Parts: sequence; C-alpha cells; structure tokens
Amino acid sequence: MIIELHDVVKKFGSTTALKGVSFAVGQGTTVGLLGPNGSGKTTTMRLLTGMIEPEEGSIRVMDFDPKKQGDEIRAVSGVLTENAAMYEWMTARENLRFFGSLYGLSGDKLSDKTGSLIAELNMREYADKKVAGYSTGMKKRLAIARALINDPKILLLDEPTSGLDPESAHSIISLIETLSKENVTILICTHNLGEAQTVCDEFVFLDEGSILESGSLAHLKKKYRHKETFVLKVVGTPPAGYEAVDGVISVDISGEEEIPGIIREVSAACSVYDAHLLEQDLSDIYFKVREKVQ
Amino acid sequence: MKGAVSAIMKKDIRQIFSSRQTMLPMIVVPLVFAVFIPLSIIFPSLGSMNSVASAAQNTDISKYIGMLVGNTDILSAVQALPNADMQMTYLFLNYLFMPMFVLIPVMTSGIIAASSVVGEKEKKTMETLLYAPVPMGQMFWAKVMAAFLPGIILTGTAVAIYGCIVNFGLVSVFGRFIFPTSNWLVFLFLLAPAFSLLATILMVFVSAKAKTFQSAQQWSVIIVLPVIGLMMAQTSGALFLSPSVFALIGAVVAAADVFLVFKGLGRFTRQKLIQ
Repeated sequence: MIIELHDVVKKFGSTTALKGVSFAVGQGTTVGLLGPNGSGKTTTMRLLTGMIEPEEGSIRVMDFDPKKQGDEIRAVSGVLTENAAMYEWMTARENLRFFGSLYGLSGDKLSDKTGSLIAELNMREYADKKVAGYSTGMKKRLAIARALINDPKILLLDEPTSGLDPESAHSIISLIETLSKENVTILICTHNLGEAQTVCDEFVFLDEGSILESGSLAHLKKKYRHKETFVLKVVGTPPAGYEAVDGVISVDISGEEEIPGIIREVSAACSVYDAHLLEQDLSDIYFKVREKVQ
Repeated sequence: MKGAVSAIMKKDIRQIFSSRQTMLPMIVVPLVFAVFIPLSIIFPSLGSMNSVASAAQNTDISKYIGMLVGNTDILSAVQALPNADMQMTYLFLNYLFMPMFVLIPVMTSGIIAASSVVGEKEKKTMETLLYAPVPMGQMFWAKVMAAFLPGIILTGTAVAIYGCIVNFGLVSVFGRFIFPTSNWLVFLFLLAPAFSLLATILMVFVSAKAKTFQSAQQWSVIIVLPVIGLMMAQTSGALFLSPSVFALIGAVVAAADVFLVFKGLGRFTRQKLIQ
C-alpha cells in the first residue's frame, strides 16, 4: 500500500477534525475523498504530507512516517491546494522555476521540465505574463503544473476543478486520467461527484471527521442496491397501478426478478418501446449513505 | 537543498521590489534621515558657524553640551571646536541624531519579514511553499536572511550617503571630514545588525498569530518604542549614548537575538504556519 492510515485522530483545540480514520490506497489507484465542507478532507491531505501531526493513530506514506520523514514524503508528492496560491507578481514560468528549484531541479533539467509542463498544460501563450492577470482557470492550471514539477509518485488534489469553466475542467480531468494511467497514486478531495465517478477507482465518504463508507463503485453499488428504478417508455394508457408522466413510467423495484412481470403487465395495456434499469451513480449512493447516517 | 535557501531568499528579495506597499516606507525613511535632515541642518547654519557667536550664547550652549555629554573624551573633542554652532552641529550630526538611524534596520527588516512571512500566510502562498521538501530550519534562515540582509544593506547605504553629505557639506567650515566618529562604527557593525535581526525574529514570532501584513507591522512598534525612548533619554540629558553605551546596548540586543533565534526555530513549524 502506498498510503495507510490507522485510527487517525486529529484535534484542533476542542474540535476533533478526524475521529479515528482508517483507509489504505494502493499504488496507481485514484481515490476520491468525498464529503461536505468541514468533513476532514483537507486535514487528511495535510496529515499525509506531514504538514500537521495526528494526536492518535499512525500514518504511512510510501513507507515513510509523515511525522518524522515529512520532507521525504513531500519530495515525492505533488499537492494542489484548493486556492491556486501562486506568486502573482511572477510569471507562470518564474513560478514553476522557483518551485522546481525547491525540489532540487536546476540548469537544463529545470528549464526542460518547466518548458514541458507549460506545453503539456497549454500555457505557452501566457507563460511569460504576470500571474496577476490570469483567470481562475489559468491559475488552477498553473497550480497543477506546479504540483507536477517534481514528477510526483503521489498526487494530492484539493478541489481540482472548482471555479473552472467546463473546458478547463475537462482538460484537467483528462490530465488526471492520463496520470492515473502512468501509475501515479492520486487522492482527490472534491464536491463534484460526477467528476469523482469519472476519474476515481475508489471512494472514501467522510462526514464530520469519520468515514461513513468506502470502496469501489462496484462494491458500493452492490451494497446499496436495496431499491432500484425500472423505467419504461410507452405509448398509450398504462394499466391500473402504473402512472406515466410524458410517456415515461418509473417503477421502484427491490430486485431484477420483478422486471419480467412489470413488462408483461404494462405491455398488455400499451405499447412499450424502451425499457431499462436506471443505473445507480455515485451521487445516488452518496446520498443514500448520508441518509442512512442521518 | 542549499539551493532552496537561496531560491527562497532571492524570491523574497525580488518580492520586495514588486510591491509599492513595502518599497515606499523603505525608501522614504532612509531618505529623510540620510538626506533631508542633514541638509536641513547643515545649509541653514553654514553662515552662523562661520561667525563668532555672542559670549552669552556660547555659555548657554556650552552648559547644555556639558549636561548632555557624559563622556570626557567626546566632551573635550566637542569643546575644542571654535564656536557654539559648530559644537552643536558636530554633536547633533555625530551623536544626538544617530539613534534615529536604528529605525532604518528595524523598519526595513520588520517590513520585509512581515511581508515574507505574514504576507505569504495572508496570500495563502505560505501553504504551497510549506508543501515543498525544504526543512523548516532552512526555511527559517532563508526568511530571516531575506529580511536581514536588505535591512543591513539599506542601512549601510543610508549611512554612507549621510556621511558624504555631512563631510562634503561641512568640510569648508571644519577644515576636515568630521564623519564617522567611532559610535557610527559601533552602530554599523553591531547595533544595526542586532536590531535588524531582532525586528526580523519578532516578525517570525508574530507570524504564528498575525493574520494580515498590516497587523504584523503594528508589532514593529514594540521595537521602535525603546529606540525612541533612548533618543528622548539622550536629548533630555538622562543618558548619553557614547560608543561604549552603544556597544553595551548592541551586545544585549545581540544576546537577545541568539536566544530568540533558538526560540524562533522551535516556533517556526509547518503546523503553526498553516493554522
């Protein structure tokens, strides 16, 4: 495992930000840390990089202890904070060169890496202009480039697409997918469940410092498949007990064995031209998990 | 990671020049002390220094000088000058005005440290900086040196300009260069570095609590007030800041610096800086 947390407790004064959190992330896995504001996502990221220390529990990142070997972890990690936080009086290239030098890059190596990131993230046009004039999307892209300056083995991304237009968000999602294929272990904190479903292999649902649920989408779908919705598109009047809205009948079912009977009943009364089981997505599961807790 | 220290220092120093908020007080204060004040003292009094003052005037000023100067060597050097105006000008430009110069390293280093530590916290760039694999000891020294060195260079430059104005402005009256006296050397090589470091370390301490650049700057008053107190004590005759008194103050501040550096190193942690 690349990342392991065991019963981690983190307190800020009288507030307990994490209440015994445990999870593990394998190499090359992309994990989504999901939860509302204040659920402990950013605290988890800071703990993993040794920025803050837990009161209880243990953390290992690439077999390093963040408490004692924080610099070793930070040397192989790339972090995107929620706020892009770049030096606005510098250009993009200067920002990247500065951060590159903090990772020990210099000379041609630094110039090459800076140049390739600028090209890769489509920043050529404005690379030598001051960051103060950049849009939110441009700043975010630059912040991602900064997170990649050291070719990280672990990437921690806090809200990577927040505040971005759809095009910028799409390009960042594509980049995350590419990095994931390159065996980079990625942890994404996000509110965007759709994006999380697109890029993440596994999910950790956090709420008020506790893990509500975790696992892959397939695992979660299986676990939360108590009720599903079967949808039929019809022409004509449906039979008694069924209601069609704009020609669409939605039926809550407890299992797939109910489907043949429903089709028989409905098609006896009207013409059915489409029938399918409504796929549960991450958003459905997320709200089911939260409902269960509340 | 030695390169990281110089990269952070260079970045912080460049940042000073990119901000009017930090540059303006750093230019104005030394300009007033090094140029405007000596010029406003030298040129209006050039005529009177060449004339012979009345005996009554001489006696009053001599009494005042006698009250101020507690060091016999300096007193006899001052009293050897031919008239009261020359004596007062010499005393003011070489001794009485000098404590004001302590404000230059205090202000400049304080402003730079506030900008580079608290300012980074305010703009949220501190967190991204802390995610880099730079040990906190190196980060601490990079931040301290980035504030300390410009403060010292600016102070040295201001003193050099002041010296040129004093020497060339008064050479026709005194017949020789009267600057620097030994207290200026104590100032340049002990007092200014000690106060500059004190202002810088204070900002590092403040950085754990202050959330904005402005609120951090207010803490500079803690150092400025004793400096003003020293000046008032000297002008009232309560204390004459001779080179040995200056050296003593410098040594005390330098000792405090050493103590505070160790304390500051302990407080300069990632956890404290991102909270």
